[in-house]
Amino acid sequence: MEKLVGMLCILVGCGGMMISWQEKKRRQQIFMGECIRLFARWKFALSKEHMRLYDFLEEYDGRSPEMEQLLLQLKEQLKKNCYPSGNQVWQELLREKRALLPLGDEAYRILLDAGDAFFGSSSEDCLRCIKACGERMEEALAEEKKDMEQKWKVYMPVGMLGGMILIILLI
Amino acid sequence: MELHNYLPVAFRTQIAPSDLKGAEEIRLRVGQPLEIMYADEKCRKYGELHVGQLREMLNYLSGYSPYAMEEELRQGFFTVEGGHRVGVSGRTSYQKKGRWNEMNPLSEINGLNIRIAHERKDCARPILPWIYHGRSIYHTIIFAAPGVGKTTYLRDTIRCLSRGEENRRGLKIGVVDERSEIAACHRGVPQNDLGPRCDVLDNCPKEQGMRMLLRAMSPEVIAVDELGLPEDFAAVGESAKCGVAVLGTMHAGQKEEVRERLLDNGLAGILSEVRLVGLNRKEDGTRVLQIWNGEGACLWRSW
Repeated sequence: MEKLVGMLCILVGCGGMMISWQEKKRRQQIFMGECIRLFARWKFALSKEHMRLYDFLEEYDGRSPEMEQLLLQLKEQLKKNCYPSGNQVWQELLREKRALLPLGDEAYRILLDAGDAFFGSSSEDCLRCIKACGERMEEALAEEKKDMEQKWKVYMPVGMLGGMILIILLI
Repeated sequence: MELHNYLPVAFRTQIAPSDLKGAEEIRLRVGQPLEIMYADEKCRKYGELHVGQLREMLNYLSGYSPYAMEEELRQGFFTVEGGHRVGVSGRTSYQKKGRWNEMNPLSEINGLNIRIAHERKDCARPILPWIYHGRSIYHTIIFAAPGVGKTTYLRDTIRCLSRGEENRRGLKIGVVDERSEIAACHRGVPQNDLGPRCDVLDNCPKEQGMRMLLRAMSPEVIAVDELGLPEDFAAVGESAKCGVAVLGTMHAGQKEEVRERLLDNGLAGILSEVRLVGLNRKEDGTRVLQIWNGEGACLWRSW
């Protein structure tokens, strides 16, 4: 009986690890998708409505809590009028929240570079940067999905096999 | 937002918010001290401004979005929350558009002039009894030299007429605000109190705006700032023909100048329905008002 419970525990543990890895990856992909949505909405607001960033942040409805939190803090920091450039606020905020954001290294780098999309010197500069960052983020997302699929194919059997071997060794 | 919060951080520590009380203008020029000019023509200077600080201030004034103000920067000014008007100087450039050259937004900005908005509510009250005419008003021209306060008086006259008085209903007033000085619209919302019955056309040429208002908004009074061009007077004539009174301002030192300009622009027919309001500033800063009828006879003077 004890052996059976032990076996089950090991299998559940292995499964749990894999599910948590998958969940982490899924959150990263959702956040990257949210970044792409943010770029697309900002591009429209800027090119068609000549909107100020304040007003855009006021109106934007983020679909991920992390993104909402990030933009809310950005708005609050900007309202203080204490930083000579908006890009500085953006960079500092991202560095501060790095650990909390579900982002891979590449996606984080893209988001850092996206400062110029919000705080460029002219609307042309901003639009150019939005386009570049949007494309890079889409590529990164596609890469991430492909990578996850491939890894899942390996991790799943390896994880289960590992669990079985552990069980056999323990028995 | 407090005006003090728009200043570069380095200057915010030197200038107390109370220093801005009674100020009329803040002038910033690269390589020069920041100047605060007061109503009594006194001036205070602080530090020396460098390019980075000017850019910083432009960021604050534009909500970190100077690109959203490219249209305004083409005209050389924009309005911020609170109705303060920011004039900009810098490098101009042009691009070909069809047969004409179109101006690009100003670049390499080297100076800002913030004209601080201050409404002087009820300053125009003494004028009102002299301009009411039946259920509407006479065509009224407020004239003065630059910087004396024509627009301030115009704004308050609009507010008072639009609100109405105890025994007078408020009038429907259409405002053509060519330079965003009367209503001081920020993102389309008037920052100055113009009363409850005002329709504002912001950033619209006077002549076009007056015609648009006549056609679309059925105003009882049309208010405009800085009448001067022949087409402005033509639009005044059209409004008068439609039975709509015009309330305007004009740069002029003497009432004769105003009368001459009205006559030169074919408005002799409406002189009997005109009131001229002259505005002067005494040395101590107080304003003297004088009102004439269209024939040039003095009706009233404040001492």
